[in-house]
Amino acid sequence: MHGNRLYEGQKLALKYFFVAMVLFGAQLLFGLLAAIQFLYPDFLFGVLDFSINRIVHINALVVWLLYAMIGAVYWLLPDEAGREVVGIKLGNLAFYVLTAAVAVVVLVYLFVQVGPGKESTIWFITEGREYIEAPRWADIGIVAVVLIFLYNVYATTMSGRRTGILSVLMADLIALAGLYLAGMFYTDNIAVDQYWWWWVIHLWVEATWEVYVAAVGGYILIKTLNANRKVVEMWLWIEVAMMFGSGILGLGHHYFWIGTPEYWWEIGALFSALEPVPLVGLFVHVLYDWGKHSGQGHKIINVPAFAWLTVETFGNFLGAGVWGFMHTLPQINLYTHGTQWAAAHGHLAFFGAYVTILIGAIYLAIQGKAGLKELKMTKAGWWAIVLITAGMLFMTVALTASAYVQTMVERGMYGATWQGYFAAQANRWFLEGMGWRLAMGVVVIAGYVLLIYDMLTCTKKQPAEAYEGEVAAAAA
Amino acid sequence: MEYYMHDIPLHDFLPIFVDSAMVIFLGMMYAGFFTLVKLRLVKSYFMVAAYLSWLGLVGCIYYLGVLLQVEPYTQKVLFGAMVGYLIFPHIVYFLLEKVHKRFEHA
Amino acid sequence: MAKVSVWSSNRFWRRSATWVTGVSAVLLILLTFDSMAQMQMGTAKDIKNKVDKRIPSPVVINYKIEYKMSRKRGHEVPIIGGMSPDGKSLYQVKEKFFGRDDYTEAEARALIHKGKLTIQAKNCMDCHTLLGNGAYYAPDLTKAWLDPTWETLAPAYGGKEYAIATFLQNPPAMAMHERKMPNLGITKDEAKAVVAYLKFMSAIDTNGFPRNFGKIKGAVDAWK
Repeated sequence: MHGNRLYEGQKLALKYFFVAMVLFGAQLLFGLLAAIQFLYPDFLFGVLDFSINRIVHINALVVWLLYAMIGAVYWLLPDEAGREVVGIKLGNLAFYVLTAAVAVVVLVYLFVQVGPGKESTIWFITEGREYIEAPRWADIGIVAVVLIFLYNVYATTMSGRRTGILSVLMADLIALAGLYLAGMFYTDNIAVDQYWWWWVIHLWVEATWEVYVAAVGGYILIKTLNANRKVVEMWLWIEVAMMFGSGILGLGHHYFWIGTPEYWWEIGALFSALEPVPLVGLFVHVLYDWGKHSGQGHKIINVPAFAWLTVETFGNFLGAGVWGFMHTLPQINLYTHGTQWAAAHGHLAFFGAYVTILIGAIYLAIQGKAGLKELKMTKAGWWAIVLITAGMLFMTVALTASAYVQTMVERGMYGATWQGYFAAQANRWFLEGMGWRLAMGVVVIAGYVLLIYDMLTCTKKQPAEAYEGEVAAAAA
Repeated sequence: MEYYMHDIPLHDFLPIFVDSAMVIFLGMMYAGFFTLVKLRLVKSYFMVAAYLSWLGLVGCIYYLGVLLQVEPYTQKVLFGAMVGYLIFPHIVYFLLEKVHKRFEHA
Repeated sequence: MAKVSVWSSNRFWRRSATWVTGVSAVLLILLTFDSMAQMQMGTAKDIKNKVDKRIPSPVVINYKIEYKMSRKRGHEVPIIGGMSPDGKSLYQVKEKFFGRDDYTEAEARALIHKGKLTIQAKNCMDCHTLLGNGAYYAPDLTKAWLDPTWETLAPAYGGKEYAIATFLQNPPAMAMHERKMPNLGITKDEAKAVVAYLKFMSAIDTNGFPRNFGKIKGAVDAWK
């Protein structure tokens, strides 16, 4: 980075990051409304029902993560390739088209909500499939926009420096985009429907997104610690082997109970045991790097980005590792499938694996935009990281308590009837867990407010020597 | 049918959840102590703690298998997990050493 | 440097990653072909020939559906049209569905087509779970057709299909819990189609999920 002179691609990245953070706020807000409804079911009943709040909550999550992912790629692409993004005009156009489409989809979710049981509803209002409710017209628009994005990544890399990080990203992004097609058809057969639905959901969050994060994490390590590029890039390939090796067939653990053949039990059990492999690998790697660096007195160039990357390591291990393994074997999953266990696991895993690292990438861009030589952590930045991380961790613990009660009462005692379901939901300890979850949601939102404040102001609160780079650039 | 799903008694649910969480925790403790000793960041006798963690992990996996009343196939998978946990940090550390030696001290 | 160890060779690891990914993907695709063949929706002919299908023909709505422990498979399985002594579906015992038990394949397919579209159009999956997937704000619908709740309500409405259909058209009027289902503008035809889908879904072989369906034992208020 040379002072304030950013590549056009990086300016585009900042736009993506901006929308991502707005959607992050929407995600938290609608999550809060849904959490309130668990305790006070009459809250907004008939106006914004639980289903609508939840759609916005989970769709905003997926979309903001994708926005931040695209943003991070646009940020590192010109820097890595050593040249401007090729189709930048097209890229800018795609950004506005996508943002307009997202806005329309959300407005339709909020104000139209449901449609008649006809194909037209699937095309224009909602597809009604968790996480990918976006109507078909928006699916096609998303594919068009993603094609433009892929073109930019490929064309820029091919005509510039083709680094290892970019090679991994090129392969990964095409798989990530291609998988979306698996969720774009209608069938009356709900078992087949969910089979392919999991291709999108699982192969995104437990395979292609993981690899994406490994590649961007490598870039952050190079930028924040001056890590040796050759080491980072070689390790990246090892991680790709571990993640795809355990993640692709790990799909089996979603195929226990949806009308699929029994052999998925064996496959699911085996790959569930393998899924901690990349996590252990990552853990040893991070400790190793930290140990080597602490001996050499290296300076951390961007403290906030590095701090969020550290939270990522532990969050991923807890959310995906511990909370995943607790209910993944078929013998126990028979009792936990379709309960709050999935909610507990999902909250910490999405946060630990993705939210953290993408916030780190945004801090990297904040430093680059201001042209600072280094970025220190401000007080607000520390409070944001502490509140959000602690809030998410305890929210997961609270959901786990509720999940345990639900498994015991609904599944263990009653055998999954409606009467059992409602008995579990009314249980004092279940409600206690839901109450703490709501309280923790408020803590996370407080952290979010501080995070936004810090992102907007942290560059103005840096010690004087950090500005040297900027002054030099201005003088030049 | 090999894959018989047994009923889980109510009082077994809590031990199952705690036990499977402990599997991953102890696995991380083993990997952590192992790496830190290898890097000489802590005294070498902490290696004992590493292998004790692994032994604890073996106990937890075994107990998990008993609680879930697993059939022979899952027994093999769980046994593989015990051995895998033992050697995997060694492999990762070995590779890291090779890579760093080549690119940083060449 | 003289000889580069294979363990620190970028090329070796790039190739390993490619091979691992490729082999996993090919395995997944092969397994998917097999699964898709086994998960194809059955036909009326299958039912006539007493062929068990994981996802049976929609004409199962003409038959009585139960969910019984199978000693052979070690978990509960759907039993369609009565059970033979060795625990298999007989496809004989019929059950009236909205006054009829002679829906043709085309009629039954049209019904569940509309039912599935309605289930998606009303975002059912964002409160309920179907086959255990979805949201956890409302009960699981996988075997909802067989739920004892509807057996107790059935007599007052002249059959459980009428009870469920009435409920769906104006849920707050028949609220069972303080966490009410909202009125989603489900029409009479849509309600009938959704009930048909629920009956059809309860006949899907889910490898024993949910476990011990309908079992109530122990001191149920012990946790209060």
